[in-house]
Formats: sequence, C-alpha cells, structure tokens
Amino acid sequence: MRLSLPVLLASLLTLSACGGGGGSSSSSSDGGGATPASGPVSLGTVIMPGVTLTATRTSALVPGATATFRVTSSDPGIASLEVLIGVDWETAQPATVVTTGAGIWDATVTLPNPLPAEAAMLVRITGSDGNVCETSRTVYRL
Amino acid sequence: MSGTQYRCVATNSAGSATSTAATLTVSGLPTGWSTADIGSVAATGSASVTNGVWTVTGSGADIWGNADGFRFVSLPASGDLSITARVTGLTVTNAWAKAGVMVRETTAAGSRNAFTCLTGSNGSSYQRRLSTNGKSTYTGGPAWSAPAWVRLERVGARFISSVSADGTTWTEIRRENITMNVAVQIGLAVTSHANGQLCTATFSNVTVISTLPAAN
Repeated sequence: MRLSLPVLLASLLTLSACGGGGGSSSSSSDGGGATPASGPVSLGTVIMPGVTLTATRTSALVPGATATFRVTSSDPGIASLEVLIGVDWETAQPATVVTTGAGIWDATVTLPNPLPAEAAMLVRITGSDGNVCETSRTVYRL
Repeated sequence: MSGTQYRCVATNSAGSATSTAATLTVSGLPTGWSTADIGSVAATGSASVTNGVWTVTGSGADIWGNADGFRFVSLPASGDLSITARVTGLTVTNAWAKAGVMVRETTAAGSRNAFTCLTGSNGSSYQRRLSTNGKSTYTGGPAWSAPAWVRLERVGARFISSVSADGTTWTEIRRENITMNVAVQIGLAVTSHANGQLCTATFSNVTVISTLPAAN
C-alpha cells in the first residue's frame, strides 16, 4: 500500500497538534540534566489501517550532546524525510538522516545547549505525489 | 441598518397611517467583494453576508496538490495585509473539508496561495502553494474544530499563520517567506473535499487590513 499525502497528513495530525502547542514541559530545560532514551512514541492517529508513524529517541537527551532518533512508517511511500531540532522551522538545526530500511529513518543531531523546553523535533516529509507535510513534537515529550 | 425594525408612515390631507413593523435584512456581499468557484467544482457554491454573518458554501475536491477546487469570496488587496475571521460553523462533508482565510495570487486553480483553515475533523492547519501549479505544503496546527479564529498576515514577503480559540490569545502555526505578487486576492475559502457536495461554513468578525490600495 502506498502512502498518499492525505493519509500521511492524517497520520501526522496529532503530532502537529502536540508540538504546535509548545509550552512548558515537566522536563528540565536548564541544560543540566540527561533524560534517558525513550520508548516508541506514536506520532499520530491512523486513518487508513496499517499506516502508522512512530518516533523513538534512541539516545539520552543531553543538551549539547549528540542525540539520535528513529522515525518509522508502516508504509514506505514517503519520498523523503527531513528532521530538524529547534524552536522554529527557520532556525532549527537539521539532523543527519539516513534510511536504514523501508520506512525507517535514523536522525542524528547535536542538541542545542541549553535545550529550551519548547524545542521540538520538526519533521518534514515529501509524499510520493510531491506534496509536503510538516509537523512537530516537543523533544521532551519524545 | 440590517436587523433594524422599520415602520412606514403615510400621510395625506386625511391624516396618517402607520404600517406594521418590518425587519430590514440586508444580504449579499459588501462593496468590493466578489465570489466565484475556483478550479473544478461539481456543485456551484455561494456566498452572502447577513447581519455580519458570512455564509459560504463550497464544493470541490480539495485545496491541495497542484490545483484547487473550492469557493472563494474575496477582495482585491495589495502590499502588507492581514485577514482575521472566526469560523463559527463548518459542515463536515469530509474530515478534510476546509474553511478559512486565504491570500491568493490569482483565481487560477494552480495559483500560489497561503491558507489558514479549520478542517472537518483534522484540526487547524496552514497550507500554501509556493509556486504556480506546484505542489502544496501543509503544517498542522492545534487540533481544533469550529468555532475558532483563523488569521493570515503578510508583511513584505513574510506570511504568518495563526489560530486562536478565543480571538485574544493566538497560536502561531508557521511563518515563512513566500514570493507572491504585491497585488493579490484576499478572502474566505471553503472546500467540501467531496466534489459535488456543498460544504457550508459560517464566519463572523471578518476583518481585512491592507496598507496599500488595491491595484486595479
């Protein structure tokens, strides 16, 4: 099954809603602590059966240090995927993204120091039809 | 004034007579506004304003991809500008039915545009087409449905998309530069995302600010 953009958009909607709100987090933003790696976090709801997107932080969250994330899609029909870390799309730092399998991407980025509470993982995906979807989730919620 | 009750008084040499009260209702569109279906639509839309409530019906497959299908009620504008509206209602013809405020370069289906909208049941979003006949880009906003406020501003090439639950506290979805002609169309856009069906959206508190006179 190929993932069309409407499905893609739907699948990411909850993620964008979570990330768009920004705001405070119960996690520290003073750059002093490290947060251990997270378990898988669903990036959104699923409209078409079998289509899910999931993000996992695969390293500790240490301001100033390298962090790694894995984004997976149950459908490989995404032409490209970009990951950025920051507080907005224009100043966020791009992560190095490698495809490690069908519908699996690993992102590596050096985290800002300090890491603001509102810092988000920003994801931009281009569907097989050429349309683009942007969404985000606060890093401390991953 | 629309909504006001009026009585007619007729007077002649025999005296005068007063009619029963009648309420004057003014509908249509304010001066300068026009409405049209954009792109391929299978049902004709409409737009009217009654007592400050804008009712827009629109068909069309979507505002998306490289060509749009929807109803647009718009005003020519130019330069720096903003449009704000409260989407008070939206018929959920589809989870991706959309109603919101749009700045559009032309009325061609593949025109460059920017659009802040509410969807049927997929929350708020900011969309745009950065090049004529090009693909579209989506950025999700808060997961709100109508009623909620939507806003789009342009300052120079800078577009800012925001939404608000109460019209006071605003959440910015996205800001970015978009190359677009100085002279544009600005207004309200509605698509049913179910071509052939009409989606009805209602708006209030529609406010347009443009710092330069519209180019003719």
